[in-house]
Amino acid sequence: MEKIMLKPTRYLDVAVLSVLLLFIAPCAMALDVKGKGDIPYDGSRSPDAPTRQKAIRAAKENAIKRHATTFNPAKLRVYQAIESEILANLDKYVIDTTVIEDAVNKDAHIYSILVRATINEPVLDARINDAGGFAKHAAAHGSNVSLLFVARETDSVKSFDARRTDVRSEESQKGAREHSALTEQGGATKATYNESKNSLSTTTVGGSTLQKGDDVKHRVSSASEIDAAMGEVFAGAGFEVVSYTDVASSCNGTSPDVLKAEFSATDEMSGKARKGAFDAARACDVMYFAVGTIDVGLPDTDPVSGNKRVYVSVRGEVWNISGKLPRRVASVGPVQYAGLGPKPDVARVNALKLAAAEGAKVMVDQLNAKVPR
Amino acid sequence: MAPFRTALLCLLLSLSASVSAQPLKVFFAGFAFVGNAADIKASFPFSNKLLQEKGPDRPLLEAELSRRLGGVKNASFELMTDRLGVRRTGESVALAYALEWENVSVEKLGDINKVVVDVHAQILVFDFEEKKVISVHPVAVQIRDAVRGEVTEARKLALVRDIYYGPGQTNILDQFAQQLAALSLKQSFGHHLRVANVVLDDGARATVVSGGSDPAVFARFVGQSFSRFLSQNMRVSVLPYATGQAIGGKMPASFANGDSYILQIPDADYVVNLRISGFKKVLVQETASEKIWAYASYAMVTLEQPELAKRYLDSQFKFGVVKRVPLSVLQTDDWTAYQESLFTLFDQVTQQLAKPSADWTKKWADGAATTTRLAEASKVIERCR
Repeated sequence: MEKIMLKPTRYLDVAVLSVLLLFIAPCAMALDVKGKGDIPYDGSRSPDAPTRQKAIRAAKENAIKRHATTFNPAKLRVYQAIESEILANLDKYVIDTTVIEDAVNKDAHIYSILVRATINEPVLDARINDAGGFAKHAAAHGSNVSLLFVARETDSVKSFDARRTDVRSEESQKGAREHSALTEQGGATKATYNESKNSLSTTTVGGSTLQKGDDVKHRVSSASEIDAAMGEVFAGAGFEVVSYTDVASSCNGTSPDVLKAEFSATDEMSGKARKGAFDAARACDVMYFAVGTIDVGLPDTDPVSGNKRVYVSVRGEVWNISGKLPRRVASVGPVQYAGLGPKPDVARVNALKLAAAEGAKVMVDQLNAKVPR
Repeated sequence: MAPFRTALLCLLLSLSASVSAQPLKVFFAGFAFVGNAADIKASFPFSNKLLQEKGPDRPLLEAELSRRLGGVKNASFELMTDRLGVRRTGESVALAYALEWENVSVEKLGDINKVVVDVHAQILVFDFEEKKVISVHPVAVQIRDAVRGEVTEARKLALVRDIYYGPGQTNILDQFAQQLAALSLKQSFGHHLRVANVVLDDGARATVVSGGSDPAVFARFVGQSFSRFLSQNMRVSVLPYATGQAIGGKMPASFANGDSYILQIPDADYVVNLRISGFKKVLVQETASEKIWAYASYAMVTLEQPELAKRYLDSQFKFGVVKRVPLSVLQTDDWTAYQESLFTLFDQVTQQLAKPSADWTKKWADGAATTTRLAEASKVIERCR
């Protein structure tokens, strides 16, 4: 093997270039999380420096574990499998630590320290993604995914009045009792007859009320914000994103307009439309098909900031279409998110981007957890 | 190779120089309100009305503010008014004229009405990356007027208009510009401090209601005011008590990034809790011509680190302001006097945090124990600079 040796002058160039890159490289996305470490100490004296160091390390581990409590179940499963490795290499994931406060419990001989740990979230997420089975699986079997997500806004709502049916029945009963007695009075027989009548009448009322659900029609659009935000998450996880428009035109799939029209009235594609879409994707060597909707609510005003606020609700599924029968391998929602902005359009875009990215993360984490490592 | 290395070194040196010498870029957000947007109409009726007066391209009041700021120069920062900031490129600080308190008080002296108009605002500077208020500097103006007969809403509005558009020392926008030129700004990377809870005891709540204020709105105002005094007197940056219209609504508009509106304030490392115990009015002295009243307010102030349950300050404070009322005054505005008393209490307590005085704590708290605790609390708050 040829060894490449740098001349001493080249070292200087490389060093200068490296320092330059520090100035122009974008800042990593760092996340501050608090962590607490509790360490027992020798009660005969105050906690010493090694005890303090142990407590700081314990606090950093605690910060990583607290951050893991924010993971969805799929991501948590993958993290738990590699937790001991992450905690053994803390300095890779915790890039800064600030001690906030410490406390000594003299009765229990416990030294506690509270830190704010700055976690390098992209590096941690990348390690968790690698630990999931998907990366190896994709290398062996392919990783094309086609995304079909539509944004829906309420176009019309037809509400129905309640339909009431009243039922009334009446019953009456007559009861009678006869009483007769025969008495003797002075050698004559006297008969008396008494008759009493009872009558009982009952009325039963009832009925039923039929309330029909609202007939909601949606206005559907394929928002580029959704495609971009979801595509970024899927691509970051190792998928290769293929536009459904290309799939439909290249492999004779169900027209995107037909699918949008279906989504304007229902939450799912019809069997025929779905088969057409999946068959075309399969023919175009696409292995996964992600489909769903993001429903956009009407804007209101946030009472705190005065900004316009838009709520959106995301739902989606990922299907593995590699086999003869498609299998649902991931799903999300419906989950709500809100976006704020000075105008409804800005708020809407903020909400769509957030919902698309968060929804995609959940589905990708589920895929990662499902594929064998 | 030599020219390449020379060029690299020159580029590196110029970058280093520019990073260290460049003043902080601060993006101007205009006229804003401390407090929730939903409360603006009720809390600032006159200023809000003036803000609705529209010019050709923006409200007249915004235009007037920009005009009075023209030419303000400061060595520690560069005020950007001609473009939006781009976050995550090092541009993260916004500044606003944030209106904090507007009060019009009317007292009847015989057949004359004495009108006092107070407008208090802040130079509010917020760092959108650290999510901290890095500077809050008060600006306040008071004007007085005497009116024979009824004081109409139109007259009150005219007086407030004078504060914004009139000349001289009683123009709050001029005061804002002057204070801005003298301000020293720097970003803060210290610990996080925040006023977390404000509770009104029953007696205090009853006084607030009888003064015509909403207890929930007043509690928010109290939290924001104490935050302001803390930042100003201790020279520390604080997490906002509430984002409100200024930080949540107006200031994000200084940045081109649409996601600036998605603001999540981080957890505090140290929290201040306030409990307003009550208010009291006591007749101090009566003469042939006047009555001298003392308006007192009472508050419990705690400072703690909640995760370790460590408490540095847990003391009851009181403070009184004196008001001389001529016997001819038929109706006094007690609520304004109570508020002045409470905010003077906050000012005094936060000044004591900076430099505790045994004489002061003997008179207004419980003496030596509080002096010790104030000193302890001060050391903790210094970590937040």
